[in-house]
Amino acid sequence: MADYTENELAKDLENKEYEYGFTTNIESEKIPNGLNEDIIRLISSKKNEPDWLLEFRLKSFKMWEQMEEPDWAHVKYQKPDFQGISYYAAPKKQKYESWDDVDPEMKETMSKLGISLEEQKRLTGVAVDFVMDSVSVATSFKEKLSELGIIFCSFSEAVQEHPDLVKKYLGTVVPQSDNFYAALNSAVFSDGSFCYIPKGVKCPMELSTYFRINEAGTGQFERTLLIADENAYVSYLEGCTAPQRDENQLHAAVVELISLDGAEIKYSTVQNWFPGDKEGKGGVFNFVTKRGICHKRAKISWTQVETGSAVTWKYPSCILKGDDSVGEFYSVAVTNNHQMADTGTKMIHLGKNTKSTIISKGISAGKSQNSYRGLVKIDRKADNARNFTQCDSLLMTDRCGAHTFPYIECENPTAQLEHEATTSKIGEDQIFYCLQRGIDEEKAIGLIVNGYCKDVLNKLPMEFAVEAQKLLTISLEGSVG
Amino acid sequence: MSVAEFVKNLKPNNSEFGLKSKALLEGKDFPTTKDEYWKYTRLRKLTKNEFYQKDGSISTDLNSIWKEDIPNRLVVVNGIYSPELSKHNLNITSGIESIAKEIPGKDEINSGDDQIFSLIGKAFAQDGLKIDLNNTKEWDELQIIFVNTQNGAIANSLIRIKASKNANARILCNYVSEGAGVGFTNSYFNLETEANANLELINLQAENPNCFHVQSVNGVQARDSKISVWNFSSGADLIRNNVNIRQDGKGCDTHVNGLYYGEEKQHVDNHVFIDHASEDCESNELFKGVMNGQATGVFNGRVIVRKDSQRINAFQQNSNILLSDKATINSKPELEIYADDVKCSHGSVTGQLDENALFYLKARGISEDRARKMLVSSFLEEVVETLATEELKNYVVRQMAQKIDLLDHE
Repeated sequence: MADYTENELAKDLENKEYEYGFTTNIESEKIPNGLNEDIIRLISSKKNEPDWLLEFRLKSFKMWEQMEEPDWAHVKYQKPDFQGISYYAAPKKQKYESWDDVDPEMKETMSKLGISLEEQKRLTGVAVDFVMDSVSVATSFKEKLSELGIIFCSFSEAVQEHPDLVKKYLGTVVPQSDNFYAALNSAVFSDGSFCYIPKGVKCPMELSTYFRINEAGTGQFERTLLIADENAYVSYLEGCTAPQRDENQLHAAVVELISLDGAEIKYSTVQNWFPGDKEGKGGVFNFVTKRGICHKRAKISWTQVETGSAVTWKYPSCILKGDDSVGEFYSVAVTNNHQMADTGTKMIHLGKNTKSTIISKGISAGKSQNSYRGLVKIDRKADNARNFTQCDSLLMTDRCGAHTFPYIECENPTAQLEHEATTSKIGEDQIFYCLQRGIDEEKAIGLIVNGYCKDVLNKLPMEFAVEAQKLLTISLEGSVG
Repeated sequence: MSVAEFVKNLKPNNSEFGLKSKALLEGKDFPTTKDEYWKYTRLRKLTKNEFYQKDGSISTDLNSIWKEDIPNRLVVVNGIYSPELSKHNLNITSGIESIAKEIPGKDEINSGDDQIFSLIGKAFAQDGLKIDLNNTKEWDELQIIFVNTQNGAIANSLIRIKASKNANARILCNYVSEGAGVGFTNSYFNLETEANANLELINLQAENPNCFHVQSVNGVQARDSKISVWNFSSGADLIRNNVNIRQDGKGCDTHVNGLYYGEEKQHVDNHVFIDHASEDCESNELFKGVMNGQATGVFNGRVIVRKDSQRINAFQQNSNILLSDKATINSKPELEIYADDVKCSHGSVTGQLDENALFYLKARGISEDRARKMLVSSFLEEVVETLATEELKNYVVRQMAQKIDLLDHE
């Protein structure tokens, strides 16, 4: 492949089919399409929810009705028909007595994804809360975690068993009225994960949830609530793949992180939902609200590798409320064919001596559009705040786009803010350098792309780094050695 | 607030473009902070005032403002050209008719964000200036002083500048106000450079702190031409600068630089939009600001590289110093890139004076005051240094020094 050129690379990228496109034939229970108060009451009653949660949903629905779908993001798509979506789907058989009772087909799905629970149980230290269309069907390592007082369960379970915690924290970081999709999620969320790490506990293993969209025409509205109590530590992994579908699937999740005094949360995501085929047909709409709040001396670190979805609209953010708190955001976003991504972060400095770091690496290929949009805000009272932002974009073809929209707002003179961004293609001189040393062009491109993303990949936990590298390889197949 | 309410006391000019512009303003409201490109600028303090068109006569002595070595001098009072106060030997014509055919000139760039004020300017301007520059042997130099006599005067000035093939020209614009009343200067520039022309436009905005200033500079460049724009903003209560340049031919070079200083409740907003519509071009932006008191500074630089505009180098730099704990800086350097063979980058930094540098100076027996002054001066110096000649640098520092405590340019 000595004469492998960038044009050929572009062609290869275009022809690459989605590898994880398959459908699991599990009977699932669906409610009628459409969205109104009755549907919300139905969802709530199906899940046997307390009154306060139903009130929360109805209030959110009323807010949502007043809102308009935002269009400021640098993406173009056919707006979803919110009345054409079924807001609840769950595999009919919900409870399994033991691992053996789990539907073999579902097990196969999991092994195709490379996350066989048995394997995981035996070989790795990762507890997996596997979400198949909104309802958790298997949870492992739960007992081990409960010995330490760690609660790690599905959201619905948490509502039943730990209502006080849920009631106390739900909607405190992402209020119902926050934005259009957060309001929608608050009204119709089906399930998700809940995690609570008690005071001073360092979670001994990396917690992990695999989301998966399965039922045709079902929007997924996940709700994740993660609380690290004082001086606790947790590393949380979230990864996703979805079956190939022709119609667009809507995913509007809300993730709320609460890092109390001295606590640390590390939240890592690998996202590889179906991005649509090379004509841009199909693919998942990923409109996610992720936000964390840091109290005194707390830290939240977001790491994401985004390779999937037709349209991504996602800004994992940190509210640095407590003094001496730290927020981090490390992101690699790859877009190919007709994918569109508008992603970035918000770092809101409210406390004194707060620090934030943003490293964003975008790679655009095919005819895709990849945008970084980030806000760094230093409040009047946030003395000695510090921010460093670096957002780089790499262009692989002459038909894609890479855009940067940083917002830097500073109201305090003691702040030190740095922002830098570059956009370029892989340098001819870099490739020449590799060729000269006997590395062929394909490998050279792989080497350069890997090096380019290294700052972010290094931040991923070991278990995830492998998968992330695999995804990058798949996404840029034919180029990465 | 509606535009109709704001212009109720104004008489439209009856030119074709004026009537067209007036029609476009029908039913329009002023932008609010919900509009992306007005996110950080509230217009309330401007739009709550009543403004009137005034005749031009001044009593101010302009001698301290003229740059002595510039042979061509124009004075524009409340948007109306004053032939008695001007002298020049360039090809300049005045009157709305003079520019009727020239505006909007080459199909105008629409950055979408400053349209309302351009339209107000075109609809209600009482005069216009058409400046044709064609000196290919040496630099044409021209200084224009814009005076606002206030008492609610609105000065709509429409200036059309064309630099023909191979021409070199430098235009220095000073904005001043008489006395301390409320006035609004709404200036609109339409620039065009033909092949290989080189045009420099230097704006010194030093009105009194009760004045308002909105400026739109719209430029279109033909191949191998160069446009450079400088905005030195130290006066007025609210300043909004828009510089929109489109590179229509290969090999264009565009420089937009700015220096802004705000104190008390001043608001200085710089918007730059560079449209790389052709190949092999370069653009460079350097904006530096110092904010004191409760002042707010805004920088929004926007670079678009169109599809097929290959081999573009674009650079944006915005640096800010906050001197007081009530001052604010909002910086938004944007890049939108649709071609791949490009080198585009931007940087934005905000901070305060370096404590170590202050200590270093104080340790050498320099008073705190002077040390601060030295650091602020050297911080801003970088922008001054981009000016072409030593005389010009000295002149600009001298003019700015009336407002900012600067060291002499050395």
